[in-house]
Amino acid sequence: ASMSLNKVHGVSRLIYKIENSIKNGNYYEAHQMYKTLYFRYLSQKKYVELLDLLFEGASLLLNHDQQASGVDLANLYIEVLVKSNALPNEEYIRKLSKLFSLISPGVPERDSFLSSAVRWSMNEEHKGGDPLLHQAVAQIYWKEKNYVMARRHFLRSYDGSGFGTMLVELQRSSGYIAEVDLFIAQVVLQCLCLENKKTAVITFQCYTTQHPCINMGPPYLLPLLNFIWFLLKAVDSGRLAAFTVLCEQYQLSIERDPSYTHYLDKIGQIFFGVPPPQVRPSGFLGNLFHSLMNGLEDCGSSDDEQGRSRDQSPHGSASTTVVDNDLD
Amino acid sequence: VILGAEQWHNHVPPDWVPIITRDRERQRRQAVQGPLSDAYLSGMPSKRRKVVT
Repeated sequence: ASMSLNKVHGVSRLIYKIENSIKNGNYYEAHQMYKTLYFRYLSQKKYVELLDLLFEGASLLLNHDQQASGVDLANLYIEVLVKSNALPNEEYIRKLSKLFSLISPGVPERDSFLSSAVRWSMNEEHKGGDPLLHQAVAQIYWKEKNYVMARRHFLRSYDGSGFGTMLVELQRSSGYIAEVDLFIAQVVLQCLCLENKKTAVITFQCYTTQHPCINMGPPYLLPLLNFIWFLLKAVDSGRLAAFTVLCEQYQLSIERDPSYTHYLDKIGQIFFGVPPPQVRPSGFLGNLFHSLMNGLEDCGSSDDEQGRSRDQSPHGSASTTVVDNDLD
Repeated sequence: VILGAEQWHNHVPPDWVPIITRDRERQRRQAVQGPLSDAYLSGMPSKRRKVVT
């Protein structure tokens, strides 16, 4: 008993020393002592204590704008989550989001911290990562006015009302008048491609009720909005015939953005049982054939193919790869 | 609009038909889509963006 008491005493003494180092501005020393404790706890498999320690340490250092050492401990926090097989829950996600918000946007390691966190939170149900984590991250990016990244994470969240409100703000501040309907159509189609129907519906409702240029409906004055409204209903019923009619009758609106056809192909496959356009040969020989063909296409170096091979390489930006895959 | 006058009427709920019919006319009168804003284009995954711009 005295032995373990000694150990506890040793740890609390070390923590006291850490606090002093930080008070005196000796951040390097504090960081090193945190690492010492990290190794000690890790070897004892004291994961709960270790997670608390790393969160405290990372927050403390980041709050004192010690970005490099703070990010180091923040990364260790995720590493321990992975090592201890911790499942995503509200507490972990809140803490990961907190750490993410404390890392300065300019710090290069911020992206890899985020993609590790997203990867940790993936499971069978949420192949693209936990919706709560995506929501928290989207909100942080939104506050920073980083709409591009906020969008990407809202797409995989269940926060349709935040998403809708942000889109209205973005459309009014930086979009053209003629794009009022395009902004929401793009998001609904992308959400559906990610099989996130829930967020598609709520975002559409929030956007159309909140946007001052859309003062009527449904039905709406703008055909594209009616198309999206009907599409969401058709997705509910799963009736292929209705889906086909909509795509035909609204073709002129759909053509306004060439990527809509691509999204609708995918939506047809997901919700209406349409077979994929070209079925690739499967199995070993099929894959071999496919990679040979890809090699040939690469020589032709069309922009699209270059993009595809770059995104699939492990050297691409980690966070983009984690989040974008299903939309490309 | 006379319900059933066109083949597609039978494949959607009846209350959609007048709206779709009206939208078809509206779309024909709509201006051709001009260049898209950066804010809009940045919502596309990088590959898609390349195809459009």
